[in-house]
Amino acid sequence: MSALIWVLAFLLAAQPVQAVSAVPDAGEPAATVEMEEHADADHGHGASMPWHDQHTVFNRVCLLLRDASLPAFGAFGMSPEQAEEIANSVFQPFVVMTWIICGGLMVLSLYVRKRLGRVPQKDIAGFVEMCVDSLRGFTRGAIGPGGEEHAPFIASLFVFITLSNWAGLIPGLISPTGVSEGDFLLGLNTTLSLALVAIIYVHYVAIRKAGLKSYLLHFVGEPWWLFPVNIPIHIVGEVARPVSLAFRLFGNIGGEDKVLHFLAIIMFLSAVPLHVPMTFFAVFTGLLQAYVFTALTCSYIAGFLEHQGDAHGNDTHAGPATAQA
Amino acid sequence: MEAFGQAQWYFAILALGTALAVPIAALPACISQGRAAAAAFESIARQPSVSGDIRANLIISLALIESIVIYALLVFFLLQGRLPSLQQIIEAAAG
Repeated sequence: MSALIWVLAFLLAAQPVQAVSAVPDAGEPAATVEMEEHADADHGHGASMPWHDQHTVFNRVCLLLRDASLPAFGAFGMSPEQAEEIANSVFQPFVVMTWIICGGLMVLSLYVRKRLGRVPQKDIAGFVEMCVDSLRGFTRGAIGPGGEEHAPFIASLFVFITLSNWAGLIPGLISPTGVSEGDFLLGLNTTLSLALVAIIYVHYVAIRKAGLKSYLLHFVGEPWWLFPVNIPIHIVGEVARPVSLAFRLFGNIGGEDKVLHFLAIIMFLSAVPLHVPMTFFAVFTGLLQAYVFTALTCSYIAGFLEHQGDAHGNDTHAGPATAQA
Repeated sequence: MEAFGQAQWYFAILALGTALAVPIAALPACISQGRAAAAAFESIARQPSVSGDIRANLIISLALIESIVIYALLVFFLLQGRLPSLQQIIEAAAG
């Protein structure tokens, strides 16, 4: 328990240093960098500085990886400029961060799989089993009685988004779903990808489980003769869903990352520890936004599977309202 | 204000719009979130056994209402990138 408190104290103390050290290749503190960024107002949103010009610790690691991978591109017969361009976009910090999170989760899963037994273990394997159990119950409750088969996807989505949101609070790492100092709309890459994956999964499950006819009839609303009105409305609604998922996740996590960034600078300049309560709040909203993303995906699945009949030809109203506890 | 040309008016109104984006969105959002929470509390008090169900729906509704304010925050950040810096304003006023 005291180790946890030490870890927390380290995280909170290191945040001001991290916020100030996120500078471009010059070396001034980030406070004046903020003012200089607005000098490039004609470039678009703030300073769109390429990531390889920013020298934070994490960016330097990504630069190392990129430089190590450049010889490999030569095997494909590309020119050095092409290779550098491709490597610049492959080894971006948030992509590398996504790899780290996914790799860490895979290693954890393999370790837990090895430790599965009759009795729950007392270490992190038992904790992971508990999480999997509760996520499976959550999926069953959110989608309905047949919802357990979607639990692997939903659970992975939830865990990945939670860890991505929390990664920005660790000094030295960034949130793939948040903002960064150079490219403001950085997290929109990750959140838009996640939203597209979730929506494609929803539509795939809808067509596969409920059938193409039921899927198409979903776009035609309740009174079938209103279909010239209903079809465009439903199509626009379907397009709005991944967009809103992406912007909601990015706006929440990016906004609080930015607030934490400024509060940490204030802490560095004037020793007012306002970033401490904000960090706790950021932990909570990271979990909450992952929950909202996942619950909305589940409700979209349930919305498509609503009028799916079961084997006897009855109309089982699979949905959150009829879920057992 | 004789010194206000076209550009100054544009940037002045842009700055005002940037600052007013989030507050104007946040006001009705807070009112509706309060109403949603009040309805949830009342129904939990009326029937405590479904409090888990109601809590799940409440969280989702609050997040959906809040996402509108987040869109306004995004508009703020997008507009903030197009505002001139203090340096540029001082130079423009001097020159």
